[in-house]
Amino acid sequence: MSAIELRDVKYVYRSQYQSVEALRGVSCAFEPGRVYAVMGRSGSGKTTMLSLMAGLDVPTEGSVLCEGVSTADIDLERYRRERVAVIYQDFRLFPLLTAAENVMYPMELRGVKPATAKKRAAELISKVGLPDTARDRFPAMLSGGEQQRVAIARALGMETKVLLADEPTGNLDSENGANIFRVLQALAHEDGYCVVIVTHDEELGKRVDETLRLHDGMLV
Amino acid sequence: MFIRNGIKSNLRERGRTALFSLLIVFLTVAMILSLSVLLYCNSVMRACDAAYRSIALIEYMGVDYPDEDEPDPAARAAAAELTDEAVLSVPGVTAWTRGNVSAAAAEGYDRYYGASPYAGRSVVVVSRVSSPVYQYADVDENGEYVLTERSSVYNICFLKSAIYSRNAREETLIDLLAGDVGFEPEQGKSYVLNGEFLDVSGSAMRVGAYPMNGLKIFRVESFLDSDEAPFAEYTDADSIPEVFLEAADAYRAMNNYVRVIPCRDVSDVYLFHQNELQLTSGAMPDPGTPGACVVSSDLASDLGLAPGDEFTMEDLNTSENDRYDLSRTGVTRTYTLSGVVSESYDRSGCVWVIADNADAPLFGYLLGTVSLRNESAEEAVEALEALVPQQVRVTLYDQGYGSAVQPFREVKKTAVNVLIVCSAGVAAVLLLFAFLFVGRQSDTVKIMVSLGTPARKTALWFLSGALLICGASAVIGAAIGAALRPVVLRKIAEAVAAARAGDGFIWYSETSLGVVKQTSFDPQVPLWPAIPAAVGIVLLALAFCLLFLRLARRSGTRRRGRSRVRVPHGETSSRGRGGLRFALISIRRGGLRSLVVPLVSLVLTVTVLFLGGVYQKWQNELDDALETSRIDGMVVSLNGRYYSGLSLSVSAVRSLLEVEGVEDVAVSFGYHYWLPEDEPDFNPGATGRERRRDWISIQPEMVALNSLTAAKEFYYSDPDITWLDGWDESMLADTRYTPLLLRSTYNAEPKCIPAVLSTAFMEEHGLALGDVFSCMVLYESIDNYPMEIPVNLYAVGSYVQREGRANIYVPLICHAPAELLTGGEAPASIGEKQFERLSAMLTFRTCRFRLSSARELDAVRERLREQGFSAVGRMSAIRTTVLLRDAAFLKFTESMERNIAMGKVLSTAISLMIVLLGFIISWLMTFSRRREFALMRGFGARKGRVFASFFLEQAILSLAGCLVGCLVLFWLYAGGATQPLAAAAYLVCYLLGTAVSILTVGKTDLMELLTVRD
Repeated sequence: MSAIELRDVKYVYRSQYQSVEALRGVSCAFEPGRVYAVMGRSGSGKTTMLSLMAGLDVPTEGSVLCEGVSTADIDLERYRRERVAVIYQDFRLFPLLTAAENVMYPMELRGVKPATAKKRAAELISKVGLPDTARDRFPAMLSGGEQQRVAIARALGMETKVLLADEPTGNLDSENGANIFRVLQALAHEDGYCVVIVTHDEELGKRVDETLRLHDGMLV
Repeated sequence: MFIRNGIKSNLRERGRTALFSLLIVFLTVAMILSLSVLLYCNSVMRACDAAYRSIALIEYMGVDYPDEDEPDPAARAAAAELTDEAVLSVPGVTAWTRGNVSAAAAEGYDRYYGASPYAGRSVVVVSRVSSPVYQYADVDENGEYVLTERSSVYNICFLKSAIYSRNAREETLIDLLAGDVGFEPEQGKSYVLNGEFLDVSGSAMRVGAYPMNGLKIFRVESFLDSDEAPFAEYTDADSIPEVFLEAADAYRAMNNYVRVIPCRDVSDVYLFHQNELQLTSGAMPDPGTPGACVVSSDLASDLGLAPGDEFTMEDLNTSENDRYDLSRTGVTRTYTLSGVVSESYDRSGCVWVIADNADAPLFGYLLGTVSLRNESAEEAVEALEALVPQQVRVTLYDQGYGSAVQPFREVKKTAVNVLIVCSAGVAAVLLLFAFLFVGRQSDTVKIMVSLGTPARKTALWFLSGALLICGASAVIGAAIGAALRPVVLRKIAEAVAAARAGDGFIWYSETSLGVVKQTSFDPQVPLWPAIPAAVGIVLLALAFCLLFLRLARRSGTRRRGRSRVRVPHGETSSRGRGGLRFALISIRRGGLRSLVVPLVSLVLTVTVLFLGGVYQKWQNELDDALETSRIDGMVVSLNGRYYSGLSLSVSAVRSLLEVEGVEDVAVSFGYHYWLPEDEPDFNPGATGRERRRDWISIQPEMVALNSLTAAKEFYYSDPDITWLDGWDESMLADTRYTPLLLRSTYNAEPKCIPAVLSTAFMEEHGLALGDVFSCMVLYESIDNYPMEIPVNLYAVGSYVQREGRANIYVPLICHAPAELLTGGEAPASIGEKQFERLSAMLTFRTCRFRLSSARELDAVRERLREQGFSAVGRMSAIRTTVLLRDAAFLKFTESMERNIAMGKVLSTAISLMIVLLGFIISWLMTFSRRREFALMRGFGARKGRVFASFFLEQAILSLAGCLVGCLVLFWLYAGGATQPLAAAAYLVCYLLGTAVSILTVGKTDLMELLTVRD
């Protein structure tokens, strides 16, 4: 069974002045243990597709299935807590929380006790290649690459099998970007995560297991 | 281009533009209206100031109002104590005129009306004197007449001529009383006599009945200021001694005296101020013109005067002890007639002249009249009350200025408050306006700077749009405000008129003495306030916009050196759970942000608590005043004088007792008493009896009362009685004693009556508490038949007599049985018939009472009106004038009620302001953290948890500030003026605002999550 699947998904942004069909019947499936890249020009619908997969909304038509269950039929908050993890281009770390606390946050949302979450956070921070000293550092004290690793550790802490990354290397230099990609690739290939990366980076697109291209809201 | 783009880009923000346009329009309208109302109130108050005059009468009260003509030493002492400098130094006093009135003689004036005790004084020539006529005399065995108490002896004679007499008819027969000056008229002779014509109707019983027409009684009396014999044999006109001619001239001057009333401003003389007298021709004299005067109509008529005329009068000297004992001085003065006064019998022969205070001695109780500035009249009266000696009363007569102006004062105060709030609102809205329309456009500024746009053009871009919106809104607001202005002002005028109609006269209140002018004003309020208001708003907007533009430009400028990044302190924590954990972490690491809320909270808590405490204090003081204040009432004369010969019927007292809320009704009636051993030796004749009667009439009184509060002695000071063991004031209500009436009627065995005596009287007569002594009481029976009744008194109490006469206080039963007042059944000793007769005929001289509770004041007023009691100056069904001494109470409660009403408005406004402030602060705090908010939601945090995270943070911070605020205020005031509920209310309001702001921020569309920036 696919980790996540889109079936004829359509999504329309409606505003006061216009309606924009961001996705026009997208169907695709994402399997565990693989790294996917969703590519396309600006406005092609990449971020909308990622947002629907992240459970921020439900499609206007069609469905997003997670392990066979449509997101329209389940509690989206719970879905976001337990089924998908998202890594953002600008890391989105809580500025007042230390690196470890940022990692602990989604765990605590799931009801893990803070003490347990703290230990697990330490493990995850090590796992993403950050030194122990980084745990008690605040985001403002970390470099961009380090912040993105913390963001990945936070995603790992959610213990989902789907990792969605929105331009994860967009704000990083090439070396840091490569390192981050390696981490994500390892998570997919070694730990069985389904990693979906939205990116403009053609080089990155060449290194993933499968690339999907969106054009005007449709897969090409 | 820049202007066009600037305007367009702002106008395209429709919602924001519309919101701020509306706010600016609204605030402009509010500002203009409040400014107009303020000017309107000022204008009305100025008009009132011109239309009304305020004066205060300074009157000596004493035990009784001294008669207008009485030389009262205590009143004179009080007047002497009151120096001109002291009175004039009181703020608000513009002029001070003493109540001394002098006299003058005007050639050609013949007084018809008014007080004239020497009207009977005459110098006459009589002839053809008859032999003595004995009336009611016995004849002894020798055929000689024997005079008894009822006898009178007189001669009949012919009134040949009157050298001076007001009421003698020449060539008529008169009865001649030789008097006690040694005159023994001989039959057939003619005499020139000095004496007095007696009032036949009034003295018939004393000197015999003379029903014959044309006959008058002339009694020979001594000269007023000469020891020479007041009689001389008359041979011809040339033989009349000079002393008779001088006396005749003096009597003429005395009887035709003109009362000269000096004043600084005739309009401020009580009679004119209260419209008791008005001008029929001419005008009031200019206060700055000495000698200008208005005169009574009889004087103007007799002297043939018209406004503009000059006339002279000769000053008369007044004797210290007798106002009407006048003598010529030979000094003449010239007066300029300005106006003539309407006809008034009791104000005939008067001249009100602009002059310094008269040198004449003071008679009566009016020490003087103070002219006051209207706006500070009440304060001036308070200061004068503190200045004047004891027993002197200061009464304000403001013609209703206070009540006319008071609503406008309130409206003005509200207008000022609204203006202040509007100004603050305008400043806040314009600040926010400038921030949003200019400050928040820093990105656009950066782009423009990066494209090399000159600063002037950038300013043009932003300022054109912002100022167009602001300017247009201000102009529209100004136009609407100007259009609404007449409507609002009319409504205010109507509301004030309605309020005045309700409170213009407060029945029975001592605050409503005197006339109340009903004037209406139509002041013109200029339109100009609309222009500076609108211009000011635009200029302020311009200033804020320039400020934010400068800040935006500075933020776009790259700074040299290393940039500083604020890094929170702390290490990874695993304490706490859920939303609270996040809230606590945010508080700990929030830095300055975590200080803002508690600090604001502290300041607001202190403010709210302080205001709440003050409000509570007002409320407590008002409750306390309502609970503990004791309001007295009394029956007075129709002109409001506390006591001036009242004759209060039993039925009126009963009606008063029936008024619910009226209690402790105390009444009194006095009879003149004397000790037999003190009585002078009067001759047994008619003149002796008359003199005795006069002597008795000035003796102190034995006052029968049911409470000492009814005694005039204790009107102004609490009774301080030393009681004989076992006795107290309750003896006054004891009904076991026999009324004086029954003592005489049934010759009941006199029993000792307990009495409270003055210490001076006791010392004078060698009495001590517990002693019994006898005195005589003149009892005027209900059919006015005088009876002298012996009474045995038992001294059971003593008081220190401060002034007046040595009155004795005895139980009310001596005058009237208590059942008369309570409506109970007739006592067996009196009998039903006699009881009914007493009910109809008995009266009381004083009556005081107390309200059961100050809360009952308005209800009692209404019940008194229902019963039909008269108020001062307002006759009603029961012609008994009731006066409630409620001025101090009303002044206090009205001021407290005003404060409380203002406090209510203020507390509502403050509550709303705090909700708004809570919202704004929380909104600012949470809106800047939208990304955190979105992140939490993105991670699947439940709405409740996200809400709790932010709400708890704000709640803890505000609670901390609130608690510290409470402690600070508690420490400052030791808990005295705080109101814990106010702090709780503040917290609730603040958290309400916080909750609303968090819920508002929380509405971020999650699909925008990935694009949310701080």
